[in-house]
Amino acid sequence: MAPVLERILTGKEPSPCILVKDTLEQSGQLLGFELLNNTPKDHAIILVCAETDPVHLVGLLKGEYAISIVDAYSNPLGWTPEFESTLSSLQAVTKQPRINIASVESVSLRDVRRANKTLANTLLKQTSSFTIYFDSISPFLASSVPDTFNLLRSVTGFLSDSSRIIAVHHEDVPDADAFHPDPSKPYASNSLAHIATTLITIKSSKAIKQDQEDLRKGIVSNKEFAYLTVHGNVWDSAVCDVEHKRKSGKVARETNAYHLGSSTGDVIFVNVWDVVGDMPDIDRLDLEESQTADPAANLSFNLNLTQEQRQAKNDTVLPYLKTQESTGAIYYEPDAADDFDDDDPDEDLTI
Amino acid sequence: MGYPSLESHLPSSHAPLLPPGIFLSISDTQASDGNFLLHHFISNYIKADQNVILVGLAGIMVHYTMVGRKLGVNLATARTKGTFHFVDGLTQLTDYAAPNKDYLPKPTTPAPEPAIPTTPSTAPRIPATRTPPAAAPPPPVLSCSPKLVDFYKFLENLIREVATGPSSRGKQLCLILDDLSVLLNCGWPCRDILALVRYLKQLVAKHNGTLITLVHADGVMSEEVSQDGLVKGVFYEADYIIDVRGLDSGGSRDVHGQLSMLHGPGYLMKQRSGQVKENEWPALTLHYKILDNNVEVFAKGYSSGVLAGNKEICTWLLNAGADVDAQTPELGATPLIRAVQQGHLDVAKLLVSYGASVEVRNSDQENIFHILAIAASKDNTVQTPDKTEKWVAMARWLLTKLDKDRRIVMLTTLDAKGRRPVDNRSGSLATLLTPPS
Repeated sequence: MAPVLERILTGKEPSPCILVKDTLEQSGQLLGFELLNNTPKDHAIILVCAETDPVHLVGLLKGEYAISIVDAYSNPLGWTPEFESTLSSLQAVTKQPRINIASVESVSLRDVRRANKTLANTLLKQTSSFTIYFDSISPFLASSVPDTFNLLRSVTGFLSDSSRIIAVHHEDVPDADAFHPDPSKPYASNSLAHIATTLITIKSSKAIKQDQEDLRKGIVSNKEFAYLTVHGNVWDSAVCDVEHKRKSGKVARETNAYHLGSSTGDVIFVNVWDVVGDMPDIDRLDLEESQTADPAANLSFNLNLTQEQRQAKNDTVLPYLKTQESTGAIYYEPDAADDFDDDDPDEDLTI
Repeated sequence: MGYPSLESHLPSSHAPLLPPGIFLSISDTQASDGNFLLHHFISNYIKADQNVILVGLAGIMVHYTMVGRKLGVNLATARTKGTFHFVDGLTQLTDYAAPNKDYLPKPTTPAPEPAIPTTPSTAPRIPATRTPPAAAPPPPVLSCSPKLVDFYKFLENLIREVATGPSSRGKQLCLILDDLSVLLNCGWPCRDILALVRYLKQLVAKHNGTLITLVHADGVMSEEVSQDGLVKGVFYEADYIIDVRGLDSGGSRDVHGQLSMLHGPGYLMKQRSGQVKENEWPALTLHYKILDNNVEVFAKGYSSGVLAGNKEICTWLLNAGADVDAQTPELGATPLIRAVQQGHLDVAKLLVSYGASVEVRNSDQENIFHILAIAASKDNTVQTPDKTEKWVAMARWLLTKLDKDRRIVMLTTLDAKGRRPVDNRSGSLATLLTPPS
């Protein structure tokens, strides 16, 4: 059976809310975008850009879609409208007639509520089913956690049967709540996981490979702190933990991986072991080692006994066997040289 | 040229400059300052006669000028010429002397001599005082209000002025922020600083420029949420990342630290869209050593100091249980092969006394005499008697380590190309290496 991830991608498994959780070490944007690129042809696409330039994202889209853009990238705090992308600027840059940009709205992350309204207005205009893509939900969360959840809730209110949300969430980026920790508040990332029908956690395949290599060699490497390592963000593959909740309530968990032949080629979903190799079986390795190491092999002298010798060896009665038969007793005669000391050695202690 | 050994690891498409429109983030730790990388880029851009705007939040002009002089660029001349612009953010980012309630009034009086209401003594250090007299004189304090947006506006004006100036046609622009952590320490929220970076990145890209920022990324400080958020935010934003930190194993006389060229999330998307060539920026870790007027950057473990036959280090390593016959994965070279290759007789003697195998062969099937002969022929571009003597002594000593039969075997062995050791050599070494008949 094809990996769950592939069935979700091709739409064989319906999933109205897909959340891609990633960290700095391995970005999930590539996967998120791949999911977006496989949107059914009749869908309209709404891009909510907070981390990537909308021009860049639109240029990457392959199919012919009607696209609405909510741009939170160019003017995040409303300092200057200079860089905001407009309809004409986008069309001028993309220069692709097949891309049909319906509307461009610019929002500021300073006020997530207003962004919510703008997004709702955009969604109201949609006549067909749609796919809404958040290139990253983290900047919204960094601005305000409750408002972001309101935004997600209002978006889910607009979802019809086949419409869906795809969102990328950077788990490691502190959200607004993290600045004022409050134990009574739930973690945003846990709450997001509850909303999502499919939760995909991305991990670096190279780091996992390295871990296994260490395991095989028996090295416990103590890792120095680093925000990002050289194993981070490899382009050709990543491991994806998938947790998919079906409508029936059944939960499917699977670890898949994606693989790329070339940096701009097609994404192929495979089983995780095709990417990182088999998990080393520690017990089996130990067993092999104990079997292969035979100390009696390759000796220049003979350690083995003949049948006759073995017989003679077993028949010999050794002195200690005799003493075992009788009960033991200790005979001791003190002589003059014995230093007999009946002092209490702990005399000086006041116990 | 900044540091030639670093240059080869940077993207080559616009060398010695960075490709325009990108954002390079440099992160460092307290143990190893990443400042030296900034000087590399400053000197490269100035030497190529491009525009540089340096926002010194952590250092004054004199500091950069002095380092620049070591690297062979005169920042003061560049400044009069109009290619170098310095924004003194260290002394003039905010004015704590000014009463907080009514922020310093922005001076409006146009004058050839800049009107500085509060701190006339600092006038010569104000960067934008070089602007033509017609323009309004700049405020003595970069940010007249506690909002970071005013700081941005100030930089925006400066960048626009520099980029659209008459002498800037076709020139690249390099904006350097040294460093972002200062802004955080001055009390601006992490979100605003990240926004500043975003706006500057867009602005600089529009003017065919490159943005370089420095940020402190210490492990201990990662528990602080705003610090953590800043570093991660910058990493998510950056196209290229260079991370400078101390060695995992602690300090060393010959290796001052390591720098890692990293792939950030942004790089991944760039790669996906085919904007970067493969291997333009390979993710790898290098070691560096800061010298008086240069920085040596070399592959991990290839410090010339360590490899220059340091007998004490070798003894220490061997006593610590290092594998005396460890082979490198690609070439199959053992420590003894390396020692012979580089002509370190004392190290070779040490290794053999610790049981290193003389009969080892590398993956090209070369034995120790092949290695010796090749190394000697490479060394002899300028032939001097004492040089030859060194190799002869080495060969003579190696031969004493073998009995007659094994000596013949080793001297007649063919490598992967079917050559005997002597085939690589002539002269007095050849007589030594000729197998006895």
